[in-house]
Amino acid sequence: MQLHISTGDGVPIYLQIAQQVKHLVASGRLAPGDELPPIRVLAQQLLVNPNTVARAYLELERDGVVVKRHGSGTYISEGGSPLARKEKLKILAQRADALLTEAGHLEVTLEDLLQLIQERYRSLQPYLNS
Amino acid sequence: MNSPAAALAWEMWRRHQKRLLALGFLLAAFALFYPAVCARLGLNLDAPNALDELATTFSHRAGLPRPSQLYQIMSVLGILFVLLGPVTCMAISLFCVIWIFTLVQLDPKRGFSFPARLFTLPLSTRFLAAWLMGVGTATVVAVYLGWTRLVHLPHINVFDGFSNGLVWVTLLVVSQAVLWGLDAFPVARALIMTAVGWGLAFLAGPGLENHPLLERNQPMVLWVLLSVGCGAAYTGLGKIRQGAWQGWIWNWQSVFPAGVASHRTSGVFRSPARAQFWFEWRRQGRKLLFCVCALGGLPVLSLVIFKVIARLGPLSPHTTFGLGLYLLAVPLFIHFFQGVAPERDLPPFQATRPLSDGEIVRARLEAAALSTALSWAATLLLLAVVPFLGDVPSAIDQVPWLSRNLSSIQPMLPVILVALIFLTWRFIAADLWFGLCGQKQVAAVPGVKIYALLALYALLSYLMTDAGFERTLFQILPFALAGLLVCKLILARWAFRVSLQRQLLTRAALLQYLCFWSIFAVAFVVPAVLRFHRERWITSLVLGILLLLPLARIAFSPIALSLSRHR
Amino acid sequence: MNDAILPSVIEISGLSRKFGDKLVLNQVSLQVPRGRVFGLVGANGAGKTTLIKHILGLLKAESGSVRVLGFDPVADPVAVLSRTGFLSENRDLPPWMRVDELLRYTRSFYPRWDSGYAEELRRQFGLEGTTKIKHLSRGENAKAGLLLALAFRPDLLLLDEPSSGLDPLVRRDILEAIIRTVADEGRTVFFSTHLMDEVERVADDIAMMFDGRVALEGSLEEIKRDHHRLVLRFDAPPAAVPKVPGVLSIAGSGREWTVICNGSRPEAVAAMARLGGRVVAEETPSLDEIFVARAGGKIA
Repeated sequence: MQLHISTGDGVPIYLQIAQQVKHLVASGRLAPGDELPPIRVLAQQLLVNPNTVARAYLELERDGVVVKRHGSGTYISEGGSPLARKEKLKILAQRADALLTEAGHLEVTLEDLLQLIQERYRSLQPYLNS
Repeated sequence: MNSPAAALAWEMWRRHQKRLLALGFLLAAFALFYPAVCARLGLNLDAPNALDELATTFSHRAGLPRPSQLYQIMSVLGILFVLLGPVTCMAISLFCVIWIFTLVQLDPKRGFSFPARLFTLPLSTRFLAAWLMGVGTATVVAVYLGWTRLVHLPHINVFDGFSNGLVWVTLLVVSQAVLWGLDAFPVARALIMTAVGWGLAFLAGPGLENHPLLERNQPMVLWVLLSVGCGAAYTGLGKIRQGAWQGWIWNWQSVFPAGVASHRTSGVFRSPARAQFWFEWRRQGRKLLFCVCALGGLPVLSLVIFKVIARLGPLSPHTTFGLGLYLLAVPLFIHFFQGVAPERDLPPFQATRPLSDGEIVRARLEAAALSTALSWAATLLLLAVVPFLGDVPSAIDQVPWLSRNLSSIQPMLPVILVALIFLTWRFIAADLWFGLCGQKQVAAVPGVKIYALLALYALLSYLMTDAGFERTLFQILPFALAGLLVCKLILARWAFRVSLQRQLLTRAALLQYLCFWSIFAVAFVVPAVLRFHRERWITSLVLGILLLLPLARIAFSPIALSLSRHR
Repeated sequence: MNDAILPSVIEISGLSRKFGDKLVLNQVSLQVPRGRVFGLVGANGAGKTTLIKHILGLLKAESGSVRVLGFDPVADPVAVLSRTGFLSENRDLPPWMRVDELLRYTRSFYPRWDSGYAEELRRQFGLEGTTKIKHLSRGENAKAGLLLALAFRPDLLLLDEPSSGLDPLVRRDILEAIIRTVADEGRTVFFSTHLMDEVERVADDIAMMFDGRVALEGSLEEIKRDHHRLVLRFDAPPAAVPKVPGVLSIAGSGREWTVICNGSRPEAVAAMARLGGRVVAEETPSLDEIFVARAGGKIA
C-alpha cells in the first residue's frame, strides 16, 4: 500500500492518511476484506508518529471504511458502502471542475462540451468496457 | 604582509611567541650569570674535562664528618646541575627550534601531522620545503652560535658531539624528512624518530671511542645525511600534499587471520569496572608503555645488533654505567612527565558513562598501575641484557661509594625496586586530581610545583652553609613532618566522608584502597626501621615515607572529577 | 522514587543558566510526558544543547531544578544515565576503538542490553565490526552512536540534533528508530532539532525556544489548531506594510498579503477589514511558518 505524506501542507497528517486510504478503496486498489498494515508497521514505513496512524485508523473506522476485528487487525469493510460511491464522485468532480475551467478559458460553450464528451465516449467505448 | 614568506614567518612567530621568548630569556640568563655562579662555587670552567672537577670535589667532600651528609649530597647534585645545565639547555633550545620548523601539529582526527591547510594557500611545495629548511637551518645556526659564543660552556668530553653545529643542522633536516615522509605511518614514524634521536646520541656521545673508523668519517656521514634528508623532506612534503600513501592502513587483520581478531573481542567484560579499566588502558596507559619500550629498547637493541654484527668490543665501564642508569631513569622520567601535565579533558562520552566518579578515578589509577608494572618489567628485561654488552662489576666501580656499600645495599634491593615502582605510579596518581578539576590554572600547578621545589632546594642549600641552621633544621624536622601527617589524615578523612555521602565512592572501594595503602606503608617502613634504626633521622624518615604515600590526594580525586563532570 | 508510575519523565522548572555575561537559559520550565515523542525546536544558539546537558547532569542547575525519571542527574548520575540513551550532536565516540570493541565496552554498563537486538541493528545499519571509529563516515558514526543508545532499550531516548549534517538515508534510519522506540510501551523520546519537517512527522508534543526562553509549549495538535494562516486581499495595494495588531507576522506584496496569527481571530479580522482587506483563504500553517513567524516577532 503506497501512501504519500507531505508535511507543511496545511492538512493534518492523520487526515492525509485517512483520505488516501479512502481514495485507494474508491479506486479499487484496496478491495473489501484486504488487511491494512498494523499501526506500528505503517508508522515506520511512513515515518510518522504511531499515534497519528492510530488516529487515522480511528477516523476510518468511524466513517465505516474499515473495521477492526478483535485482536487480528484492521480490514477494509465489506460491501459497497455509500461512501465509496461518494469518494468516486468526489474524484470525478475534481476532474470536471478542471475541465469546465479550461473550457471557460477557451470560451467553449456547455453544449459544445457535452457533445465533445459524447463523441469521445463513443470512440473510447470498446476499450472502456474491459 | 608583503609576501608569502613574510606571512608564513609571522604566523610561526605568533604561534610560538612565548616559547621563543622563553628560550631567548634562558640564553640571556646563562650568558650573564653563569660565569658568576661558577666562580662562586669554585668551579674551573676552563679545565679540559669539567666532570673531573666533579669527581675531585665529590671525593674531597666525601671525607667530611657525618653530620654534613645531607649537605654533601645536595652540593654534589647542585654542582652536577650547574655543570650540565648549559649543555642541557642548549640541547633543549635546539630541539625546540627543530620541532617548531617541522610544523607537525596535533590534529584530533589524524594525530600528529603536517597541517593540511597550508596546502590550500597559493604556495608551491618547493617554496614551502625550501622556506622551512632554509629558515630552519638559519635559526638553528643562530641559536647554536648564540650558545657557543655568548655562554662560557664548560668543556665536557662526553658531550663533545653536541658542540658540532653540523650535527644540529643535519638533525633538523633528517627530522623534517622523517616526519614529513612518514606522515601516513605514525607508528613507524615514532619508532624511526626515536632511532634517529639515538643515532644522534651515539654519534655525538661516548660510543665513538670504540670505533675510530666512524669517528674519522663523521663529517662525511653528516653531509651525506644532510643531502639525502633535503631530498627526502621535499619528496615527503609533496606526497603529503597529494595525499599519497594515505590508504596504506596497516590492516592487522590481513596479517593475522580474522578468527584470531574476533576471538579476542568476543568475550564479555565481567563488570563495568573491568570495562572502564580496559578503556583507560587502551586509551592512555598503552602509550606510556610504548614510550618506555621504545626509549629503552631501541638503544639496547641497536647496541646488541652492532655488537653481534660489527663485533664491537665490550662497552667501556663508563658507558655501561651510563646505560644502566639511563634504563633505570626511563620509566621514571616518562611517568614523571605524564604526571606533571595531568589530563584535563573529560569528553562527554566519558562523562555520560553510568559510572560513579569514584569508579572512573579507580579505572585511571588501575591503568596507571598496570602501565607502571609493565614498564618496569620491560626495564628489568632490558637491564638483564646489559651484562651481555659490557662488564657490570667494573661499571659499578665507577662510583666508589656504590662499590664499597654494595654488600649492605644488596639485601635492600627488592625494597628499593618496589619503592621505585611505587614512586613511578605515584608520579601519575598523586597529581591526578589537579587535572581532574578541569580548570586550566589548577592543572598547571604540578608543573609549577617543580619550580617551587627547585627554589626551595636552592634556598635550603644556601641556608645550609650555616652549621647552626642545619642543627635546628634536624631538630624541628620531625615535628614539622608529624604536623603535616596529621593534616593529611584530617583532610583525607574529610574528603572520604564527603565522597561516601555523595555516593561518589563505595565503602568497598574505600576499604580496598586503605588496605593497599597500609600494605605499602608496612612494606616500606619496616625495612627502613630495621636498617636505619640507629640513625638520628629515623623518625623523619618514617614520617617522610608515610607522607609520600598518597592518601588525601586520592581522596580528593572523585570530588575533583565531580566538579568537572557537573559544571 | 518509583519511576514506573511517574507521569512526567523530565521535569524542569525555573531553570536559568549564565555563561559569563550571557544568559543562555532564562527561567525555562518543561514537562515531558511519558510514552510520547517530545520535540525541542529552536534556532542555533537558542539554548537547546545547554538544556540537554542539564538533563544529563553535565551542567549543574544554577537556579531551578531538573528531575529526570524521578532522579536528580547531578546527585544521582548513575541512576539517570543507566536508563537514558543519548546521541550527542558532536558524535564524540573514541576514534581509536573498533565497532565491535565499542559494543563490547558499552554493553558492560547496561544490564538490560539486548545482544540480539544490537546485532540486528548493527546489520541493518551496515556497520562492520572490525572498522575503526575514525574510519567511519559521518553517517555511519551517527548510526553507531544511535545503536549504542538503542540497544539497551532505555526508558528515555535523548537525541541532540540527531540529523545535523546527515544525508536523507541516515535521517530515515534515525526517524525510524525514534518511532520504533516510542511504539514500545512506556518509552519516551526527547529530541532537539531545527528541522521542522521531522518534528511535524514524529512529535507528539513540542516546545519552541528562542534566546533561552520557551516561547511555546504544548501538543503539536493543539498548536496547529491554534495557529492560522490567512490570505488577505486588498482592493488597492497598501502603501506600506499594513499594521495589523495581534498577529504574529504579515508578509506579501501588491494586493495579496499572508498573515499568520494564533487564537484571537475576530479582533484581527476586524482590524484587517478596517484596513480594507478581505480574508480570501484560511489554512493551517506549517510548523516552519509558525516558527519563522514567531522568530520574526522577536527580532523586530
